[in-house]
Amino acid sequence: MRYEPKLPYQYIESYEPRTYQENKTSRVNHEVRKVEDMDQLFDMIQLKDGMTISFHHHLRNGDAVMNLIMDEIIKRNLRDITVAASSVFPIHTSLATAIERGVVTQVVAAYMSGAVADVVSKGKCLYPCVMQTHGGRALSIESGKLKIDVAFIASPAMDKSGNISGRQGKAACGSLGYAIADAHYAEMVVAITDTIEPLNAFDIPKECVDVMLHVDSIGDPKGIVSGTTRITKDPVGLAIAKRTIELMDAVGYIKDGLSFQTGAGGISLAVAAQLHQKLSQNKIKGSFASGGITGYLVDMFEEGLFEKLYDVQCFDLAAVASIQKNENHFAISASQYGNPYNPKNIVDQLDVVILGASEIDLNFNVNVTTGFDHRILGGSGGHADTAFGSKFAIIVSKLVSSRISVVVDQVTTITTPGQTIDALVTDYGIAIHPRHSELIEQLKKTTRLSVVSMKELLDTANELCGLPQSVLPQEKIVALMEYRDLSVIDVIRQSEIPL
Amino acid sequence: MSIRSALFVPGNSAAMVLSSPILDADAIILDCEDAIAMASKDSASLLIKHTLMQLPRRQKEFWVRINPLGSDFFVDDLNNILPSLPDALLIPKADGDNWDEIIASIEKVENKFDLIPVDLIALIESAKGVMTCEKLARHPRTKGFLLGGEDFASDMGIARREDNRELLFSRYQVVTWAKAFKLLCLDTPYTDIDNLEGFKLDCEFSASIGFDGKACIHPLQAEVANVVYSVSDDQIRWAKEVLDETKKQSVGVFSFKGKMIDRPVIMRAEQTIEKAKKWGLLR
Amino acid sequence: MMNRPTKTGIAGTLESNDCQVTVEPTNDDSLVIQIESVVKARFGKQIEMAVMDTCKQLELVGATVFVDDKGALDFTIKARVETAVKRSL
Repeated sequence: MRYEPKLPYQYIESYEPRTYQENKTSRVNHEVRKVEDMDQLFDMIQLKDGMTISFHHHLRNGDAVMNLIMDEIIKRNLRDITVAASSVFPIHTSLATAIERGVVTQVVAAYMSGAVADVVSKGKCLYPCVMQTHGGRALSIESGKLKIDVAFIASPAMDKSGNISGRQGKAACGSLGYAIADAHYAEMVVAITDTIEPLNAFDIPKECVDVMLHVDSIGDPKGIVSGTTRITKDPVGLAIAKRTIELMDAVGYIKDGLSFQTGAGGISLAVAAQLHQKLSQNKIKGSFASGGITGYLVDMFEEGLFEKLYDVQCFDLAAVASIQKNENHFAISASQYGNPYNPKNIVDQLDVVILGASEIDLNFNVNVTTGFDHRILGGSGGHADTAFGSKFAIIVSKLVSSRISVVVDQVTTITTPGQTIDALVTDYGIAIHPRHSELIEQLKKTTRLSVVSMKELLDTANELCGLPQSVLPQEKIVALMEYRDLSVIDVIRQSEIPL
Repeated sequence: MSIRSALFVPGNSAAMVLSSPILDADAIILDCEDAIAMASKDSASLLIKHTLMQLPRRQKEFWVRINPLGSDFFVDDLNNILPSLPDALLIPKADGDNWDEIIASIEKVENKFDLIPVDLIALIESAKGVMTCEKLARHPRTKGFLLGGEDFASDMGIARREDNRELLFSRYQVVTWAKAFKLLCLDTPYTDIDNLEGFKLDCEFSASIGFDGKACIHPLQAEVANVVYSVSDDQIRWAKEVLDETKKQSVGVFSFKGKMIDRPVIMRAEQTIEKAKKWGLLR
Repeated sequence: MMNRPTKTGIAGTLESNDCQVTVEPTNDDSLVIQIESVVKARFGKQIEMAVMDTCKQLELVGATVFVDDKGALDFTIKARVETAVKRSL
């Protein structure tokens, strides 16, 4: 069924806590049905035209399950399916084929790249897709606004009775945080695994699971480390990281109890590495690090620089190894992570988050979803969630790379509103959101940091690159930008440029 | 001219040349010489030419190391680089015997394009260069020295040592002649880029015998050099106090906080404040 | 004096922030400029202008100039064009 957010975006300072009832865990004597092959599975689940199915992306670009299911759905000639995937990666080519053939007519996801992003950008998907945030996705499912008919859960390991663990098995991926809402709220839950063995711990209890299917392989764990999770070696990136640490220090966040999150971009990881040094040199103990967890954060945690890790997704195999053995490395659900109405959500407890941007404008609005040509290249993931929740959200980026300036007049697409961003650190200076006027004065007076206005950065970029021609899109709306509270903050129109 | 760090950047890498303005070095040395393969010499020279003409320079000096006199590229480099107004030229293999000829070639190009004379830094990297640096120092066009330890050692037929003991004489010789004529003097590069601790010790020694700064081959080295060759907050505070006190005093020599203050001390205090201003250390 | 290429001249690289320029001789006096760029939609006109200006300054005729741009700034484009032209003479 089509998912259509309608509420227009409006800045809200805080969200009143709400709770939603799930009733699966109270099921008594629940038994998981086992099927032998795809035919049996599809006979049992009775998937129909117009239904909504869901997937999680913990196996990232190594995932085999979505293609397996999409191939079957294409073969069975179903129509008008909505796919609600937590994220879509380049490996998911079968979904692109399904969209082109009208089998899938809407995608709802927090991030998409590769062939699916291309067909959506080209306007090949019948209905506008919806780009969510990780927290917003959990909210949309828990609140019943996004109704999932069948959730297909890639399950690295299951026991015979149908409990699921992400921590064991051939394709162990650690936390299953993005699949938790699907497991608890979908009408029907299908767990697909390649490993059946006794489990040490459950990430999803069997009460949530209706059907289990054993296959040869659910995916390649090497694909978990895909693309962005490497530290930069570029001296400019390292210099930006260094200034970011100096800024955090100047604003007063580098102290005992620090809670911290960083994205997986090269410069963000360099910030983590330099924070590591800073904390251990000054014998400072942070409280927690959260989000997508990388080996860099695990090292800090194991050295005692953070007391706890809250892990919604393991970004690399070092994080998977840690969650298997470390007691204070907790798996959390996307709702506990970033649902704005979840009373204990982690993002609201964050001090500092380090994030990337493909564009940031004079109002500090950030775009991580499309290129200047309106083509979809990614998505919020937890960007908008952590920017809102954290006390200090810092964007790190080179001002210019390959003639494209990160600072623009107006972002092509709003992923994260400027009201929730506090600072931008670039190689050409640091811009602080004007609402922090006292901080700006203090930094100018007491530090050697180069504090400039966003307009000055824009002028520098234009001086280097020349004034860019604007690239207008076509009329057709191909996707809605859904903010974390399920309001619509922007739209993406069809890309004019041949892809 | 006061330069704590001068960072070599290969002149043919568009990405590195582009990012050089924001790196932590007081001077960037765009290199046409050792960092560039024979087949790319023309390309590096022209990239530097166009870069200097268009890149916003801000508060940083841009020097160019050209190819040496006698190479096929020396004249082309001068014709490409001089009209694009570098802040200084670094002249490799300089010595007392070739300096006049080098300067004549430079002046020929400067006259052709009607240019203001460029600052010249002599790269002293041979036994002859070390032993004839008096002549370099006395020449009115010379603005500074940079000691090149690697080429010097090969010219001497000796191996480099980790403690740089083989450079002791040349360091004292070069820096003392530089100071005798109020020239900038930069110390030889430290080649082990992974050993920042060793780099720092090397800088501390060279600063202690009068070098103004260090030639660097990695941005992280430049950061360290900027601290070692800099003036400390304590020095700045002391200098301010001395100068404030000087204004109040009517005599040339007086006692302040138990120390005798006279003209040389006051001049040093003035130099400290001047450097602090230049490097943005005054708050 | 007009400059006319006698052979193929190539300069630059395909690394990001750089461009590769290839100059080839033609049989007549024409000057043909072809541009591929990752930022063509945003900076196509500026790139063309930078290439054209440099060719004019060098008084180039009888040449095809092909620029494969990976996001180079104008001064890099001009340097690579000048190098390729000089290598083709």
